[in-house]
Amino acid sequence: MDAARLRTAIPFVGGHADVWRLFDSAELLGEVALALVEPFRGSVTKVAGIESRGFILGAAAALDLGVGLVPIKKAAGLFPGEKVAVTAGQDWRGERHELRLQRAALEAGDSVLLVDDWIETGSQARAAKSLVEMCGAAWLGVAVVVRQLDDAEGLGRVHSLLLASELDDPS
Amino acid sequence: MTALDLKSYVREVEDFPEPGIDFKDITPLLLDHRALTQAVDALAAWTAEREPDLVLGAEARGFILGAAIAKDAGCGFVPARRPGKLPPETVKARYLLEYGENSLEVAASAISHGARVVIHDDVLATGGTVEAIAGLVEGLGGKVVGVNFVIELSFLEGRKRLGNYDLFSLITY
Repeated sequence: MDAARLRTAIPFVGGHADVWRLFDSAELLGEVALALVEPFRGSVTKVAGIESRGFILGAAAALDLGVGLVPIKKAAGLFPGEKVAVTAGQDWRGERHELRLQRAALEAGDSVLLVDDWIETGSQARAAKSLVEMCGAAWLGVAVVVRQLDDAEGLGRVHSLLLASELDDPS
Repeated sequence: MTALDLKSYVREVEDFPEPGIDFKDITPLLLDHRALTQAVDALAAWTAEREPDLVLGAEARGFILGAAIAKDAGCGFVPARRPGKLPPETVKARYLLEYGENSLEVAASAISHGARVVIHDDVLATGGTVEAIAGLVEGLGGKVVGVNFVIELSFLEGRKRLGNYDLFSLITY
């Protein structure tokens, strides 16, 4: 999709890129979801989304691909059943979250794509990969709107629509 | 295509989170593409008939289907988030839950005067969450043209509490 249009849709507010504006219009949300999943079409059996923002594009991407959505949740909140859990390294806020996945959500034949809006440290993606593999499923990679991460080793294929350095930070 | 019985894609977990409560887990519905599509189609069709300018979803589980509903209904998606997660200029509502207190924030700039808003959440229990969000929307000059849910726990009478609003739920217990 058009990178210039995408850049305009992610303004800086108070020193932070405001990714929420991407979801202001159905058209843009739809286009972004399609562009994210396109390289992976046909190879994915489940899309994973990490609570909370990862749920937004995750569901749209899963619907586009014709597969189910696997929710990965943080430690707070009700989440019944047998689970696998791992504590992620520090995220961009400097926080560490325990991520959880219901074991029954994935089976051995599943191939999983993680969809998110932004990847910075990659700590949550690495944790998500561990969870997927703990369930015996295969990890395909990450589809993300904005990539800030340099070192993506071990994360599989990382498909991004924009690099963080391409954003127009006015500061 | 034959319609699925969506209730069979909800897992009931007895005595969770505490004795006497049966938790409704919609994960099986999310995992199954046909069930997920049917749920979003039905909620999006109902939403589109209300001709909203945007769908507002409550963090975190209201995000899952909320954005997909907005996309299919042809309008934008706006989140109600836990405190401190949105850029400045937010309005905040505190409300009581069955267990404790909670609060959510909405970006003031997201709701323009006269905006038509459909609020989505996964479960309608007592209605406290959506009542609080509706108050935020109205405080900013928006109009709540509908509220919808995947699951309604009718015995908690949330529908009565939200009696002023056009309300739809996909699955009722």
